[in-house]
Amino acid sequence: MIFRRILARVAGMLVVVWGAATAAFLVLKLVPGDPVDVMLGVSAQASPELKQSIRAELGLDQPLLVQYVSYLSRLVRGDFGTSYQLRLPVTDVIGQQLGYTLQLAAASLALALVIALAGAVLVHGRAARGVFSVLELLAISSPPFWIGLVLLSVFAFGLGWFPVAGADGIQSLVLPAMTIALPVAGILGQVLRTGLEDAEEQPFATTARARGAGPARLVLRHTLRHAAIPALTLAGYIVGSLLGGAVIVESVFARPGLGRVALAAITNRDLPVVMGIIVFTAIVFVLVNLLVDLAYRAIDPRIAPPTTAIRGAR
Amino acid sequence: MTSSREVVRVSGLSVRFGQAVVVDSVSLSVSAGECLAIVGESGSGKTLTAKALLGLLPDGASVVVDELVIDGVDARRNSERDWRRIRGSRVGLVSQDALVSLDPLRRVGAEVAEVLEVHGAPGSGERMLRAAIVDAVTGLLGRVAVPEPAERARQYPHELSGGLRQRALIASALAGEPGILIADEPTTALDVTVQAQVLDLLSRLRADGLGIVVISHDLAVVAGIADRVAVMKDGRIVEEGATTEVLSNPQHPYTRMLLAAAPRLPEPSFPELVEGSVAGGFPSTGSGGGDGVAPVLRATGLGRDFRRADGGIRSAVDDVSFTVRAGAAIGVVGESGSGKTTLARLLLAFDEPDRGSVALEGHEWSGIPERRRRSRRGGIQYISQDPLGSFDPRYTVARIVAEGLRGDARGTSPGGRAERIRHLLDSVGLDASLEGRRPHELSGGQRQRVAIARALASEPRILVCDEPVSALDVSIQATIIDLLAGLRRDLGVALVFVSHDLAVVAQLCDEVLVMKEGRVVERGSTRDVFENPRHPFTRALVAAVPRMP
Repeated sequence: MIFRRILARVAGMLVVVWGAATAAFLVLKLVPGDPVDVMLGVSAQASPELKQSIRAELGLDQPLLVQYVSYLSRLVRGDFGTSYQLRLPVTDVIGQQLGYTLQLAAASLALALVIALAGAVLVHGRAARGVFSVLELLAISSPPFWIGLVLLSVFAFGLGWFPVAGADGIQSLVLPAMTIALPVAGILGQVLRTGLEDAEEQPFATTARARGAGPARLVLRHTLRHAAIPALTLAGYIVGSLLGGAVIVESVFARPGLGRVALAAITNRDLPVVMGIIVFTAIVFVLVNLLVDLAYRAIDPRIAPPTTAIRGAR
Repeated sequence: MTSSREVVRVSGLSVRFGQAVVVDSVSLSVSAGECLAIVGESGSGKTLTAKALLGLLPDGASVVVDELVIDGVDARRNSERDWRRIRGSRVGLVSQDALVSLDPLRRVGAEVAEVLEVHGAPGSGERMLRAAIVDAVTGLLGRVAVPEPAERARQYPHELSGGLRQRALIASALAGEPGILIADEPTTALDVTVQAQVLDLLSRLRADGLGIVVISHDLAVVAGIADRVAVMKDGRIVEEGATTEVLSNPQHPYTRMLLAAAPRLPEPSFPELVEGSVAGGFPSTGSGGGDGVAPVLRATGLGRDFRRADGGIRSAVDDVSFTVRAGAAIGVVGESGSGKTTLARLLLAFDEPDRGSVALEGHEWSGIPERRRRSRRGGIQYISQDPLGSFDPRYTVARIVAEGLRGDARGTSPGGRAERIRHLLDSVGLDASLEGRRPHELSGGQRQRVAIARALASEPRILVCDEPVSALDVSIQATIIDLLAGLRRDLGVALVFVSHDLAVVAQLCDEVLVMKEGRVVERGSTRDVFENPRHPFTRALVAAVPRMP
């Protein structure tokens, strides 16, 4: 039973990745323009014969279905193709840049969590909460590039606390991470606060207080877990924000990373890299969803696997 | 008993929200080993009184009190921090429905251990080691008669039955060895047989020297356990005295009304219960009914299966057959999980049976496309426990009732329609001035009347009622039951009345089906079944109904 469930789950994940790969393939075949022209550069005056031979070498002269099948079979073997621009295997391109973006994403997520938790748990009183919600709303509704520019002009150009650009140590990570973290913290904080307030209204919170539990214990041992459940549903949005934010922030702050590679690949029509990044992103989302599901089960025993539930049922 | 130590002494307790006085100069005292019941209907201030004893009144409440002594501690000028020291160690709370009163995300053992973690060892207040806490939790669960306590402590609240959960909640309140236990509707969410066990546990704890304050809307429930009863109405205690005294010789008119309104099972000595009255004219099942008229509703061999989480099959309803004739009233009783609600859904064709069939007014009703049922739906209507959930909150009363009108009545002139709505409201005893109100502006009883008016709008031949009075105060309950009995008499509408409350069924129905685990274990005329139950389960059910002395 459990085994079948896991199997179905894995199959579902594969279907999603396959769907993303297929969509990427079709979309990029539909866009106008000849990739060979792009590869050769605008200035290159290549003869039609040369172009044709390059096309044949890349398999671009084959019927669409044949191209699709060979594309998929290469994907299955972990071969994402070779970048037209960089002349490197796509896996290497992604691998080289992944570290920078992971660093940025992890730092942003940590910052967002700290800010959201602090706002939801520590801010008490009607007035303070009102002020905080306005700040959250501001963070949610501001475009990331604008936040980035404001942070740059205040903390880098104005106060000079942090470097303007680059990826050189913790110092250079602060402003970019903050840029991505603020909108995420805004929405996460709102969901957490609502969750905490809802949980505080529940009968079990009254019971806990009737046992002599103080506010700290009430939050840490009881209500925060309840508030974490709606917050977890935001995981997809957050991962999207982290990856999407990376594209903008890496450009604004001139940091290396996957986001910049993606942006460059799209403007240069470097199809293998674009498709590689799309498939990679799909895999990330599928894995995050799996983790979120496992986290739900860890937090809420009511959705635990059935075998444990039955033992207790009377 | 009165000579023993006083564990609660309150005098002149008033609680106000702004200008509204919700608790008005209440005084009470409880000694060790004594149980005081505070009885009242919703809004009487009984729960706020209980919360004041724990310092747990909601924000915005202002409290004035002359004397407030909790287990020997003067709590009048308590700060929140002082209250926290008392809660759990000197006064414990048990609330309604342990499914939500225990933290659903934490193991039962962790919940029981919480008091020990907060206050340390009872008495000394020393920090307890992990192992000592685990032992103490096992001991506490054992003390409230939870079987396999060590195993249960590792489970979550939803994995325990309702009765075990409530015991665990009581154990968690006892962990700090408080002198006084406040039990707010401790058995309201429980089946009667389980309720009897929990009440039994509370009386045992009382015998061990615990002082108990029980809050309840139900006089019968507290009659068996309380030494003294205080009846509350509009924030005041209107009558207080020894339980037997208050029940047998009530002084205040409100107490008398409460006693009169409480539904009771027919006493064995009760003569000629329904013979010749409303129910007399209707033959019960099996008597064939040779008048040639098709019964309003006929269920034949109904069965409905659900897949269990482990892949096994559970029959929620199994081989249930019965017939409802025009104007008859059939009660369906059983405990939670017995299949009552699933049966009601099958009768209403909200759900399709896996076996058997339902016929409405002589024509097939189950197993046909909904399209063919739609025009006949007006003939069978549904009354739920909580009508608020079935109303669009933005609709007015008139519009809610109009929803129930059949297509042809809807098409008539606006004047005729308004006339019809007014007539319907009148027939359920609602004043026409309520027409413009919205659901949240109505009382619980008024809402149920609106729901009945809407159901009557399509001139049904039968009403299927699922626990229609369970959420209402006893005095309101009585009026709704009267209303249903009157409708049956005047309009000849038949009733299928699903309830966990035997006494309510006894009042209204002439025939009863007793369900257990999806099957009908006993059936017959209401009087026969309740006076002379044959099946052991029915006997247990009847015996467990709380009775007033």
